[in-house]
Amino acid sequence: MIKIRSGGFALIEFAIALPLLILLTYGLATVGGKIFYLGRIQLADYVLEEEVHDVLSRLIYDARAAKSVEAFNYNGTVTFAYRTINESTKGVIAVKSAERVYLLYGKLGAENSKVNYKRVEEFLSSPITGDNYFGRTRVTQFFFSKPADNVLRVTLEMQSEVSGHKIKISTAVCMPGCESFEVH
Amino acid sequence: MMKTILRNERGFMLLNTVFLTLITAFAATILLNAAPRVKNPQSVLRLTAIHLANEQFALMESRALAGELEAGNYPFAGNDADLTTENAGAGKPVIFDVATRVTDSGNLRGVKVTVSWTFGGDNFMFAEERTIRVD
Repeated sequence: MIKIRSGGFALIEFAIALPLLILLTYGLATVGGKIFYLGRIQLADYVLEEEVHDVLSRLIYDARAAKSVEAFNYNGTVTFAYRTINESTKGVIAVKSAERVYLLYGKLGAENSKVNYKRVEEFLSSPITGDNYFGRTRVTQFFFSKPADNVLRVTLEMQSEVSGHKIKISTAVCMPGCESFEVH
Repeated sequence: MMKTILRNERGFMLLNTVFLTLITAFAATILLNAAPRVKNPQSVLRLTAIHLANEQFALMESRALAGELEAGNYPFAGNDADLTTENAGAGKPVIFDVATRVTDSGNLRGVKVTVSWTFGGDNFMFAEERTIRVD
């Protein structure tokens, strides 16, 4: 049962097998690396989509019930004021403390360009966009227009710092109870 | 006779089999992961279409507030530049078509906005309906 002449590897076998092994390893490493790279890009793009969508959805939601709207295109700021109940008179009035502001922090296109959101007396501590762990983003366009008397149109373009891809989305919201609306 | 066969038969070694299994498993894992990793722009195009439909709804609602929303078909009332997007990447602009159908039901209007587009030879569509009150 014992093999009389067990030979092992001959030099010629080794000479053929080694290049094949190198080629196979290189091919698998390249494909694997590309797949991990694509996965990272895809995740960054997903984050980018989510951040654009999140800003626009929140902004539209807040705009819908606004009593007055003031937008400034030169610094990417829009301020909404609301009706609140005055406890003493039980009347409905607009007060300053009910304001909500969306504004651009940093210079458009710069690494620190983020959309911030705050209520009037809050600090700018929580930007909606920018510092996502899975892919940093920057704002490259953020402006407002007034296509009709009570319609606010918003355009937001953002770029992923990981993939370099840009997404530009425009949307609009009708504000039926808006009494004062200006775009500067 | 048996001795002769075994003497000439080399067969696979255990180590060969283990290596082959490992390499095959690694290659299969890569291939299984590769399919969903391919960049698919449909999600961002759909997102663009959703916001485009919202823009059209806002303008239809504005018409309703002005008492000008009657039953019928309406073209896109927003900014024409919004109908073309480069969000799909690779310098390929995608053009959206927005169709709006308004139906009458007393002081309510049923508004259906359909956004359609073509990408890579395939047609895609997103439709949304809302009821708008007309006083």
